[in-house]
This record gives sequence, C-alpha cells and structure tokens, in this order.
Amino acid sequence: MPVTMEQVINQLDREEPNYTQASQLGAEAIPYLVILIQGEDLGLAVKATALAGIINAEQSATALELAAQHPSTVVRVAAAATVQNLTNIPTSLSGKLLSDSDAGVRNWTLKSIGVRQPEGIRGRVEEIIRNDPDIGIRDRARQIIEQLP
Amino acid sequence: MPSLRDSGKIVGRSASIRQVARQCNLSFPLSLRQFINTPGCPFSRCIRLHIKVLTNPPANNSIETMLNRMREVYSTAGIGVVVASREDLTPAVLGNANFNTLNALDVGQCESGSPSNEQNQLFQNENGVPAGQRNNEIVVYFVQNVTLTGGGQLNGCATFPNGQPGAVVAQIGSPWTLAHEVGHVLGLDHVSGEHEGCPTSDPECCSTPAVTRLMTGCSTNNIVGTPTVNQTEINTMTSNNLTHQC
Repeated sequence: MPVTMEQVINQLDREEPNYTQASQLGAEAIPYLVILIQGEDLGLAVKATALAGIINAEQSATALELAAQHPSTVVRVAAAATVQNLTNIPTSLSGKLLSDSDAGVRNWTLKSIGVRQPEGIRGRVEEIIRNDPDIGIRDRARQIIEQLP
Repeated sequence: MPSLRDSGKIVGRSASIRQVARQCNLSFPLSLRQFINTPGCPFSRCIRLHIKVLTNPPANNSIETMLNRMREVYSTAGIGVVVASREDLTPAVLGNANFNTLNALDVGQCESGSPSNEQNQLFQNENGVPAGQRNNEIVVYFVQNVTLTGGGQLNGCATFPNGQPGAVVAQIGSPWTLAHEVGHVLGLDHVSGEHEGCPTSDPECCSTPAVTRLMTGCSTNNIVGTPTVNQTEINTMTSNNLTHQC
C-alpha cells in the first residue's frame, strides 16, 4: 500500500516518536518529509529531517541538503545529527554543516562524521582543529581526526 | 521570597489575590509577603522548579506560557508549581561558553536511569538549588534541541542523573511539554489506549490519541482544552518525594 502524508505525520507528531518504527515507511516517505522540512510547522520539520536520515534512502541526502540550508537552527541541528545514518555522506553536505555558524550544528556534524568516517572531509576537520572558536568543538575534532581516511 | 508570579499561587487569568486569599480563609488587610508565605494556600502540595534557560522557546510558546499551562493542569491535581529560581544561560548572557554544544543536547536513548554524558554534564549546573535539597527539587533545562544519539529529535526528555531530578525541554516543545515531562519526573507514564486497532506492522500507531490527557504519548501539541490527570496519576504525583507540603 502506498505511503500517505497522514501516515508520515502520524509517526512524527508525537512527544517522543519511535524512529525505528517510523523508518519502516521507507523511501516512499521521503517526498512527504521534504514537504514537511519546507513547511511552517517547525516541530514537524525537525522530526522529518531526523527521519529522512534514519530512512537512509537514495533521496535522503537531498532532503538533508534542504534541511542543512534551513533558516532555523533547530532544523540544521537535526540534519547534522541524522546525517550519521547515511551510508554515504556527501562531502558537500558535511562541508556545509561543518561551516555552520551554530556550534551545535558543527558539534553534531563531527559526531556523525565520527560514526561514518567519510572520505574527503579530513582537511576540513583539520581546519576546525586549528580555527574553530569553540574549544569543545576543537576537542571533538581532535578526537575523530585519526579515524578519518 | 519568590515573586507573586513564581509563587504559583495565582492560577488562571481570572483569579485574583483576593479570591485566592478568601479560599484560604485569610483575613484582610493582607500583605503580599504574608500572602506568599502562607503555607498551604491555596495548595497543600507543591513542587519546586528551577528554570535554566540555554535557549528561549519561541515567543508564541514562551516559558511563561508553559508554566501557566502547567499550573492549570497541576492545580486540578491540587499541586502548586513554585518557580524557586531562574537562570539565564543563553549565549547572549554567557558568550561563547560551554553551553553552546549542550544546547543541542545528546540524550542518549532517553531511557530512565540512563542519562547520557551530556545530560550528566548539563545537570551539574544546579545553581539556585538550596544545599542538601537537590534530590527534592526539580531542575528544568530549556535547550535548542533534544536529540537521541542516533539522530532522532524529541520534544523533551525526563531522564536525569541519579539524585538530580529534572528534565529538558526542546525549542519545538508544545505549550504542554513542560507539564508532560515533569509528569514523567513525578513518575507518570504515557496513558494507555491510544493504539486501539493498530496493525501488527505498526503496533504503536496513534489511532485513538487521548487528546484530553496530559500524559498522551501521541502529541501534546494536539491537546484540546486543559488536559486531565486521573486519580491514579494524581496519587502517583502527590506521593512522589518531589511533591512537598507547600
């Protein structure tokens, strides 16, 4: 049976969504998640971003690229935190998130990079070790740098 | 002495000091200090909250709104909500300090009794809690994001380190999230009966959401009117050692 927007919202519009259960909606949910990420309901946009990553489908990265450009920091943090679920994190996406003005976004991106250890991002992490204004973020970058190819 | 606003004695828009004082058989003339310091008026049981703000919620769902909603529903359980202290930990006050990264808080799996390292770190900030009282008072941290280690996003989380009761509330929380999360801290679970007729493939679907109950697990965002707590929940709340004689 095809996935509907109602099903997607039913999964996300909860105090504490069960993301494992929600991810069973699969790739068919991604177009609806993209709509929610761009919508006016910030709570749904944040949770839709999280789920788009957790589903880890081909279009997930596109959804997270949108979330990474969102004017609201809470959505960008959600993108940074869920990017760890992508099997292949596009360098453009991780690079954008690492350049975010918000420390929470950069911190979560580093955590995600530590989980996936993607190629092509080591130089950017070295730059963070040298220049990031937040000492906690510099420390986290130091922790993961040796794991990166 | 807490302010009249933080004393939690006035609940709802229509109540006045005079009305509340009359309920408590206080005679006039009555000083504000006397009113605020009168024990058991108008509630016999109280909880004491300490508010720590890393991120202010949006203006249409301010902390005052959440406190007012909380007082509405807790008053139906005969429990007063006192704000014992407030602390502003926003970057505007602290600058580029440690709280920047804790503002996008990692709550692990948000499982009772298993706080994350970041929760342990955040909850170390307990300024304003009287010495020796940490285990008897509730600290609530308002943060930007409440994030599961795996990347999921929550409205809030009521997991806390042992002996440091409290909760975190995300910027996306609803007007009822504060009351809901403190409900968890006081021992309440989500209500049952919200998943009637759900398919086996999705046994926790919100087919029959309890939109009139504070402890709905579906979404407090969809609550209609002032939500209820039932007698069993009231008994749990009032018997918790975080609920004191006012």
